[in-house]
Amino acid sequence: MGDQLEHHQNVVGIPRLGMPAPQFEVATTHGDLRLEDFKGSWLILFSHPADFTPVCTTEFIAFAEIHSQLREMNCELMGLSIDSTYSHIAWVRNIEEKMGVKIEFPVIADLNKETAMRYGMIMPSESKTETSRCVFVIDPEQVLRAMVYYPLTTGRNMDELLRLIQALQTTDEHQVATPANWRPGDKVILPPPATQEAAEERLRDSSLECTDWYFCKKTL
Amino acid sequence: MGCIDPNDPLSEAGKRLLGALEVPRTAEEVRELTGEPLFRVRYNLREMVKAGLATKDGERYSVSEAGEKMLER
Repeated sequence: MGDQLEHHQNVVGIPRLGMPAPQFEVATTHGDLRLEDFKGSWLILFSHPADFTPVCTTEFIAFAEIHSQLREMNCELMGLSIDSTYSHIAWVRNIEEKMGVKIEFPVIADLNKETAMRYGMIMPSESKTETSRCVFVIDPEQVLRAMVYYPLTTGRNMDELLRLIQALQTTDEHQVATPANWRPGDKVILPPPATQEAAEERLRDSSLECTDWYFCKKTL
Repeated sequence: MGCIDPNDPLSEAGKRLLGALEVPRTAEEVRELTGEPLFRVRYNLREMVKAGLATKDGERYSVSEAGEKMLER
């Protein structure tokens, strides 16, 4: 019972896709920011276990390397860990000094774990004092569109995060879905028709590449 | 925690931002003028208002009298 209660206290819950992203007002390395400050842009909100740790350092460098590509896609980046602003500042300065990489995105100092709990970033069986490697993709309307969770041991794949943003933006722009391993330029998938009439119409549409009525692709 | 002290001289970026408010503008319009990311524009505008250097009317921000004096320094 005690374990269950402790578990409940440490894991408030995980947000749901398609719902408004949990709001926050937080201290960051770029001043006090609110989620609503990002309205109109895509946002990748990600957590890391701790400052001055090796895997997190490789991730910060990798995030910095895709930052300008993300910006071109109207997507901002923001990190989070249960460390102080001063620790974050010291760490990003150290990364610049020792690795030659400037970290230009804000990093949340979530010392009271409030935002981490709200987003379900703490996995108590891994660590009660560190956030796991979580990624939340929030769209310009501040709706939560994707979540990715990696364990403490495993650094994230930046190519996949870029691909995820490209896929979501393509979906929004063209009302299509994207198949496994999709890359920009590849064919996209039409959502399955909801009626028999629509299914028959789709098979007559020569602009589509249909294997069957429910499985149609097209080139954008 | 406010980062703009009305007694300190403004940075070049601060002057650019405040200068953009000679005409009432929305955060989005300021972003277009300055090229700064929208979240940073919104944060800086909020700090300018807190420091009394700008005023907000609806969605538009304008430079205040105190802000004008800062720009003249």
